[in-house]
Amino acid sequence: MQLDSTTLTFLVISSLAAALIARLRSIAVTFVAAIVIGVIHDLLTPFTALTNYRDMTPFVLAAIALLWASRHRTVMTRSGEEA
Amino acid sequence: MTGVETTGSAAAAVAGQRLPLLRRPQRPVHLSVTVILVLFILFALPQLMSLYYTGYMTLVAIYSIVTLGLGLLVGRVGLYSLGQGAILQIGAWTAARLLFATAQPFPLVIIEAGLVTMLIGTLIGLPAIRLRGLYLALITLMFAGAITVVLATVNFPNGGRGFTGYNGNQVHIPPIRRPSIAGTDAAYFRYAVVVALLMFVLVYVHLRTRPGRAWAAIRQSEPSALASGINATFYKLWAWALASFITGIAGGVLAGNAHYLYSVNFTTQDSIILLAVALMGGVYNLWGAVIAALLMQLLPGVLQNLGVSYAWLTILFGIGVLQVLTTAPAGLADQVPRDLARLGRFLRRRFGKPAPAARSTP
Repeated sequence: MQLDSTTLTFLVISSLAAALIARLRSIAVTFVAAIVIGVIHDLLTPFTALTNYRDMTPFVLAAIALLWASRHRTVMTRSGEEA
Repeated sequence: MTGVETTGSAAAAVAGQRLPLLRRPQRPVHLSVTVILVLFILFALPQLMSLYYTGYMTLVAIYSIVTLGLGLLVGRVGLYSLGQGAILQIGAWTAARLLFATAQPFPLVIIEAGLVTMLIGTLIGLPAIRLRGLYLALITLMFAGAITVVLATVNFPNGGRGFTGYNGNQVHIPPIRRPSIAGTDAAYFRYAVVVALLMFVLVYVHLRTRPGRAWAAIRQSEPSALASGINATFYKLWAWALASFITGIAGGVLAGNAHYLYSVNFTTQDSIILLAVALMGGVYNLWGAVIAALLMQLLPGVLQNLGVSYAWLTILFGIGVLQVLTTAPAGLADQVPRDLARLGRFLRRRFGKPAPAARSTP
């Protein structure tokens, strides 16, 4: 990661993945999810087939979590309204 | 017999939606202004513009297709997608790969790129059907991030061998070819405008017919749309497919325009900027797509010409989105004519009654 304004502004994109795994409801789950994402991201480094793709970790985990959450019913924001 | 009752009111709602959709072409002034504008852009504008602005205006034509697709999803169906930048990348990648691998004519290649992108876009849309609002926006953003990472590793084709078509040693890289009738930049600009026009007509026809009415019903209330017998899942997927198809075609035209594609030029934040400008331009109006593309692609060129850093635009877009969300939900396409009319009324009151021609309608 380099220090420039654009990268830092959009750092929120990968951070959102952790919040999304917690379904935007729990800070504790977000914290754990963020640590798990970071650990998996770094554990992928030694695998040559996967090492270039390890930046996908937050996105893939968030997608899996959301798809898992929506397997039985429609997932929407708490009020049930469109966000 | 509540079922009958519900069906009746939903059908009435659909019929109510139908009227504003049908009203537009009945304004001859509107139609003739559009035709004159299109003729001007096609025949006069390339002669008037410098090469510098021709390049930027070609990008405007290409990105107006992308914002058209996004405006369709957001404004007509109510699906917030933050992944359109990634869909565009898929289209550009597919078109570049096909242009290097085959000798097919250019229009055929961009249609094929559109179809491949449509398939992938619909696959992304399939699980997203169960997600609403904020979650849908965020999961599409996650897909966009993932696709950007994949393309950063795979790279865009540059005439190499294998499936990825990437030639790593960076020598003798052939440019991505353009159609034979549009080799020069001015001709390619016209080509891009014609493609964009065809896409606008395609979307317009959709909005005027059955899918447009179904989307309008779904956007207003999905339960009532379901109750009136509209297959909501099918029409939502149709919207995804149509938006992905036209975005893929835009990607194909983008590949020919750029000659060389580099994955560093495509970032995940493009998807966010796209939604921002689409909202600013106006998602309930086809003109909004054009305004959005002008904001996104022409403004950086103008600022660069003036020697101002275009990084300021990120701030402008942020403020613009806040303004859209708080005061002008229909964006600039709706707000500017209304404010100009209000200004006209104000001037009329202020300075008595000038001749009607003096305060020409906006």
